[in-house]
Amino acid sequence: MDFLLLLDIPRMRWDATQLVYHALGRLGIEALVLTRTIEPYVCVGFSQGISAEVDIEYCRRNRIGVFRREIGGGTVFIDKNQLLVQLVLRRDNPAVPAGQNNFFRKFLSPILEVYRGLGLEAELRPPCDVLVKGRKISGTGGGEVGECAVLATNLLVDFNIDRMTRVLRCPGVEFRRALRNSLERNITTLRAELGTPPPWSVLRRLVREGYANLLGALEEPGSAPPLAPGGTGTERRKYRGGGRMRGAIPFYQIRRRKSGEGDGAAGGSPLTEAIAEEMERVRMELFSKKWLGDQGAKKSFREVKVRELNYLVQFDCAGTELLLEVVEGRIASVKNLRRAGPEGWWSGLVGLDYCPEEIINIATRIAGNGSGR
Amino acid sequence: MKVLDYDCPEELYYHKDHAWARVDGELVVIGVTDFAQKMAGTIKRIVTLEVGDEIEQDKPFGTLSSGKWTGKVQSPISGEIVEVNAALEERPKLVNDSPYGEGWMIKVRPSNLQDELARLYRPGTEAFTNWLTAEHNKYKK
Repeated sequence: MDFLLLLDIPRMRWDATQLVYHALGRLGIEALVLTRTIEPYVCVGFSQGISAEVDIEYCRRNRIGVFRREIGGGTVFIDKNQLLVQLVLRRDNPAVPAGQNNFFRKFLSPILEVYRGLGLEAELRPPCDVLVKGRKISGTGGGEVGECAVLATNLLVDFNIDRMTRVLRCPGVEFRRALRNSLERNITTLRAELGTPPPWSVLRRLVREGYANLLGALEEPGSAPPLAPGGTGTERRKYRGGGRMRGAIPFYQIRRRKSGEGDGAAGGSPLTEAIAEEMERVRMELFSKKWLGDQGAKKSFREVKVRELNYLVQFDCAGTELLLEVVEGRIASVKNLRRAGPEGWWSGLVGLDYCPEEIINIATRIAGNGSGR
Repeated sequence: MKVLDYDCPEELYYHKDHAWARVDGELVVIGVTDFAQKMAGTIKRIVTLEVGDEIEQDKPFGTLSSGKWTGKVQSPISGEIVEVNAALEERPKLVNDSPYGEGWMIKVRPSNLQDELARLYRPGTEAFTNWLTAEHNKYKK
């Protein structure tokens, strides 16, 4: 294909920020989306259930939207202080490497370069966390939508840890307190690192340039169709002209760099009615009771992944209520919330590799032996 | 048999996108390959179409999630789903632990079996080895 659509949309309604990449993926339209949400919301990953992850009542009272996406990653709280970056590429595009780790490594490289360009020592913690000094500054999920592979990431300009702590379902006050502390230690932002974050326009430009360097040059608005290969003639006609979507804003086409060709200038045309229509179709599906009511992966414990290899977990098993903090994949601390003091078999878990099944097995075995103290 | 690092039972048929099919009387059992589970990492969730749904060769019949990534599983054959492995709901990691055994995903009553089996890879053939080697090299890049 010759063109990668760039949807550089300053602000969108919260639901549209999620629907847009699902729609693009289903339509097979390759695109880079940059946007921010107008309203705050919580978004859980495909393998998660909203009722297990989110304090739904709190969100309802505070008018915080709740969504379950079709791609991976954990629960995220998204508000206007994040630049959302979504990349949609057809799986048969030769630029798309095989394997999720290769995919994340390649397509997060522009994000790493943005941070590095701002003077931060950003590193990728595989598969897809971007860290600065060990703290997460971009959260990412990915997956296949239609015939496309999708990367959804963000740049944290600021982050409301209190809100994040509040929207997550917590089994008790101790868990919530520990969660807040853990988030404080494991999340950072451009504001925290730089004092004054760069203007949004600068961030957007840096991201655009990064992906243009990787995938193709920016061009002035033009008439070239933002089409993926394999699109039918009907689709080509449908997308070429394009109608104007409600509140349409400029977007740009990125043309794949050709040998001997320099970077072009930015180009654009309105977001097409076709994408808007597909977003409405996706809405019917992804806001259905069946989709949002999905219980997610079954778990007998509460686990929040704060960043790659760092977790906060509460087990309620074999007469104990264990609150574990996991750091770099190992159990760093254990507290039995039903018994004051450090004594007990559970203190022997400290230093072990984190494996939930093993912890449950140990607890059950000890309880069976009557040595649970 | 082993090809490279991957278990590849000889009695199975293999789809290019790493699902397998085993003919079991009038039904076909379907799952994902050892290669697929190794590339996916620890599997956190599996969702398939339901009993009674029709599936088509080369079209997705399920989604497999390893937490950060969700991928579609393409069907090796066409037919009607007659059983879904309910154990995967509680223990998706069975696909990691036993991709060709307890980690099977669906059973299908095939609609065009012989023609479609002919389009799948068989271990021991040059085509199979070339395909899996190419996939291995592609993913290891």
